[in-house]
Amino acid sequence: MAHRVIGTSPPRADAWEKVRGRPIYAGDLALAGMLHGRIVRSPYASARILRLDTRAARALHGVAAVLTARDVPRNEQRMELPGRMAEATAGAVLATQPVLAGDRVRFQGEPVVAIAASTPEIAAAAADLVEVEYAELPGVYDPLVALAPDAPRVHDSGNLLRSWHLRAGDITQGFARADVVVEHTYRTPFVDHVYLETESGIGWIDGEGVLVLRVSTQVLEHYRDVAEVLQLPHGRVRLEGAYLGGGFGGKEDVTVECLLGLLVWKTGRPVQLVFSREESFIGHGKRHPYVMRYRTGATRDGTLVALDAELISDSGAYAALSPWVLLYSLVTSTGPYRIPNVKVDATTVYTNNPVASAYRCFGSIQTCLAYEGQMDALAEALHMDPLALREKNFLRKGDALATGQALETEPMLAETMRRAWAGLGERRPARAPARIGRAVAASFTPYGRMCWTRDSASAWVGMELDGTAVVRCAAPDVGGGQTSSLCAITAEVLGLDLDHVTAVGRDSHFTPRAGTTTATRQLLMSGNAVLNAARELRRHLVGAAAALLEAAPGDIELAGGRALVRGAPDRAIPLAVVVKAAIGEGRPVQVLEKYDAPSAPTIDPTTGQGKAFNDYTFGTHAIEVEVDAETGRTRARRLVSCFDAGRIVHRANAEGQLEGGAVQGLGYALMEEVALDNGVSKNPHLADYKIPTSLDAPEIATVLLESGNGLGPFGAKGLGEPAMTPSIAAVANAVSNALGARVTELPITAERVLAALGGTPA
Amino acid sequence: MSVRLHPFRLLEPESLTDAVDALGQLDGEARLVAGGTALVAMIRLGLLKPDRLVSLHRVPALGQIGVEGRSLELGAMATHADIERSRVVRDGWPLLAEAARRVATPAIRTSGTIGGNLAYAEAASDPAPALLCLDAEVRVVGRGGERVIPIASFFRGFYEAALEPGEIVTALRVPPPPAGARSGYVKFTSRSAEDKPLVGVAALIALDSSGRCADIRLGLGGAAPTPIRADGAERTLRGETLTDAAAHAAADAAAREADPLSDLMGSASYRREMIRVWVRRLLVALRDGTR
Repeated sequence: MAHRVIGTSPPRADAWEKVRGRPIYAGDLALAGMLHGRIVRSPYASARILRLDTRAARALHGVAAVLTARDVPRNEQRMELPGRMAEATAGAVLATQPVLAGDRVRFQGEPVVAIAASTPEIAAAAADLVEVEYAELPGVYDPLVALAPDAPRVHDSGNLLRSWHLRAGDITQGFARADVVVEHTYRTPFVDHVYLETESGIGWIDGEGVLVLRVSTQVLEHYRDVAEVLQLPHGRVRLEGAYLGGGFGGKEDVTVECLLGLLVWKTGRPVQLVFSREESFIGHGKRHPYVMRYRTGATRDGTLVALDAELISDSGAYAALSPWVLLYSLVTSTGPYRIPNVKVDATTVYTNNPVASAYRCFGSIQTCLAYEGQMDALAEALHMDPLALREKNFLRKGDALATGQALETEPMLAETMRRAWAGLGERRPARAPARIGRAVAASFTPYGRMCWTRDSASAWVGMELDGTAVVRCAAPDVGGGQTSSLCAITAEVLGLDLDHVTAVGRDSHFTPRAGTTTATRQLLMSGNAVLNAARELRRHLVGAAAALLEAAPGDIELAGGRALVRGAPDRAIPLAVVVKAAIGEGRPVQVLEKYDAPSAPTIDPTTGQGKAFNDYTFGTHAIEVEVDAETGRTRARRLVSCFDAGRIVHRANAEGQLEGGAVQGLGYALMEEVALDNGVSKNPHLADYKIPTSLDAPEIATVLLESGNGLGPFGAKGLGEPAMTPSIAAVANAVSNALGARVTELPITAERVLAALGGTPA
Repeated sequence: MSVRLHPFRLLEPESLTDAVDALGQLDGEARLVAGGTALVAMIRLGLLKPDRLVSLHRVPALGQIGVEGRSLELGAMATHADIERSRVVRDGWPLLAEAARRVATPAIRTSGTIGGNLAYAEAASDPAPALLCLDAEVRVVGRGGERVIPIASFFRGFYEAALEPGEIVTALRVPPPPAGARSGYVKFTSRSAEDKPLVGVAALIALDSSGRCADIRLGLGGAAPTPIRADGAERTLRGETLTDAAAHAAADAAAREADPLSDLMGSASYRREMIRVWVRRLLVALRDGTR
C-alpha cells in the first residue's frame, strides 16, 4: 500500500520552535508569587542522621517552608511501572524509597530537606543554615562484596535484591558436545543520561483545589505517586507534560515530582524546582554497572551448543527498576542466536552507590557487549569469519529464544548484518602507528512492555468544523518526535495534509491516558491507539461523504482535505462540508479509542520460560575504528547502522534515532563513567564527565529496512532503544580487532588501550 | 534554568587605578573577573565564595592587540577568539594563534581572556606553553606600581601565579620569534574532543643552514603542576641535527623532567608517556614540514 505521509520526512511540528528557542520547558514557566525550591542532600553514601535542626533556616526572612521526613504524609515512593507489575510478580520485590530521608541515608545525594523560599538565593542561604549531624556508617560499594554474608547491609532485608534464572536444554551435555569453549568476563560502569535539560518543574494549586505539576517527565502517570505521598485522592493531582530536553529513561522514575508536590501542598503557593547539573548527576538514577561472566561453547563447524552465564548488576541504594532491567538482561542474554543449552543466573544487588534504574536499552545493551564479544572470540578460536559464524546461528522465523518464545516473523538479522558491513566500504589502509579495526555487532531489543503488564493506550481524534483534525493523547514527547508521528498517522488515515493535524496537550487528566514514553512503546501503543481512533473517525466521515456524493462508502477516498469518489475526480467535496453534514446527521466526528497490547502470563522466574515480550527489533552496527598504538586513543571513523524498522513512520526521525543511539553508545564505549570513591561521585559536572561531541562522531550511514512485520501502525517496530543496543559491542569488537586482543571492559579509554598494548610504563 | 551562585557584589571600575583600589579594600574577599569562564565555574562549585567581584570590562584599552617596536603587545582582556582571528598575531606569532584556536569551545573562546587564562595558572592551559616558547613577558599593575614578570617565572605552583595580592595582569609583551622559525602546538585530549589537554606541547625550532637546531624551545602543558619549559629536552637538541634519534632523546628527556599529576583525565605515568609521544611527533613534523 502506498502511503502519502507515512515514511516521508515532513518538518516536525516542534522543529522551528526548538531552533528558535521558543518552547516553554517545564523549568521555564514562572507564576506570580512563585517560590523557589531547594533540596538539601546527603554528602555521605552511608550514614545515620543523628540530629536535624531546621530552626535557623526557618527563621530566615523569605523562607516559606523547610520540610523534613516528618512533614511527608506518607514518606514512601513506590517504584512500580504502572500496569499491574506488583500483582504479576506478587511479593517479589519491595521497592520503595523515602521522599526525604528519615534517620538513615543510603547514597550520596539522597534528599534530606526540602526548602521553598521567595528567591533562589534565599533558598540557598536557608539550605546552608540547615544543620544535619551525620554519623558515617560502613557502606558497601561493590556488588560482589555486598553479597558476602558479613557485608554491611544497605537494607534490613539484606543486599540481594532479586535473582532471575534462565534454563533451556541440558547445560552439561551442551558443553560435552562443544569442540571450542571461550570464556570472558565483561564489565561496564555507571553512566549518566546527560540530557540537555536537567530535572525541573513548577507546581501550583488551581481553582478547584487540584495540585497541578508541570514537569519534565516521561511518565505523566506519576501524578499517582504524588497523590499517594500526599495522601490525596488520585484525582486531586494533575500532571501536565511539557516538551522534554531529553529523557533516555532518566525521567522515567520520579525526579522532582514528589518533592515539588510536597512544597506546593505545604505552602499553598506556586513553587519552581530546577535541579542544577551537579544535582542531576548525583540525584537521578544511572545505568547499572554489570559484571558478566560468559562461557560459550560451539562445535567445530561453528554451531552454538551451550551458554553458561552469570550476570551481576549494581542496583545502588534502592531498587528502583533494577529487577525489570535485570529481566531484560536475562531475556536478551543469549543474543539473537539459536543456543539449545542455556544456563543463565542473573542477580541485582543493593550497594551504597548511586541508585541505578532505567537508561535507554534497559539492560539489553550490557548483555550485547557480552554476547557479541563472545561471538568474535569464538570466531577467532574457530578460525571462522565472524559474519559467517553469526549468520550460521542467527534466529530465523519459527526458531525459539531460550525462553521458549518462538519468533512469529522473519527477524532479517542476516540482511541487517550484510547491509551494515557492506556499507563500511573499502577497508581504510592503516599507516603505523595507527591501527584499523573493523567489526559488527548484531542485536535484538524488545519494544513495548513485558507481556504480562497488559499494556494499554488510549487516544482521541476529532474533526474541527474547518475540516482539520485534532489529536489528544497523553504521550510525552521526549524529543524523539512522538507527537509528529501521531499527527502523521492521523494525516495518513484521514487524507489530510500534515499541517492540518494538530496534537494538543499532554496531560494526565485532560488527554486520554497513553502510558509512559519508555520501553520503546509509544509508537506501538499510542500509535496504534491513534490509528484505531483515526480509522473509526474515517468510517464516520466516509459514511457522511457517501451520502453527500451518492456513492457507495467503499468508493469514497479521503485525500488532500477532500472526500472524493474513486475514479471520478470531479465528484469531490471538502472535508469541512463532510464534517458539518456528519454532525447534522448525528454521526460522531470525535472518537476515543484504545489499543491493548497482546498479553501473556508471567514468565517462570526459575527457568525464564514463557513469553516475556510481544516482539523485538533486530539490527546491526558495523564500525571501523582507528587506534593510535602509541597513545591508545580510539577514533570511530565510519559507522553503519542497519535496522529492520518494520515500517518507517517519519524517516528523518527514524534516521535521527539511529544516529543518536550510535553516538550515545560511542560515549558509553569510549569515555563515559561516573567515577566513584566509596559511593561519592568524583565527577558530578561536565568538566570531568565527558560525552561525545560532533567532532568525536564518525561518518554515520543509516540503512532502514521495512519488513512490515512490526506490531505498530502499518507494521512499524520501535527504534528508540534498539538503535543504541549494538553500539558498545561494535566499538569493543572493532578495538579488539585493531589490537589483536579482546577488550572486555568499558570505557575503552586511551590509557586502558595503551596498557593492553603494553605501552604504559609501570 | 537558573544558575545559583553564592551572592557577591559586582564592581565595575573605569580605570586601572580604581580597579587596583577596589581589589585592595580590606572588607571580605575580592576577585577579579575578566571573561568569567573559570571563576564562575569555581563559584558554582563552591570552591570560591568571594564577596566582591571586580570586573575589568569597563577599563579602556585593556583588550587591544598591536605591535610596539617588533614585539606583540597583547592586552590582558583580549579574548582567545580575538587572538586567533587577529591578522597581526596570525602573521607574526602563528604559534600563539594556533594555541588560542585550540582553547575549549567557541563560546569559551569568545568570553575567556588571555590575562584570565594566565592568572588562573592552570597546568592544562593551551596558550601558556606557546607563550613559554615565545619568551613572553607579563605586565602587572598593583599598589606598588607596574612590574614585568618573565613568563618562565610567572607560574609559581598548582593554580598559583606569581601575583601579589591586589595585582592585575594588564598586558603581555611577546618578542618576535626568530626569523625562519617553525612552530606548532599539539593539544592531546584523552576523552572527548571538547576537553582540557591531557598534555599540550608547543615547540619552536630554528634550524641553521646545516640543519642544526640554532634555537629550540619546548613548552609543556599538563606535564607538571604548572605549565613548564622543557629545559632538559631543549639542551639535548641545541646545536644538534634534528635526527629521529635526537627527537627520541629529546622526548625522553622531556618525559623525564615532567612531573605530572594523576586525575580523571589520566594517570601521571600515562601523561608522562604522552609527553614522550607528542614531543617526538611534533619535533619530527616540524622538521619535515608535515604540519
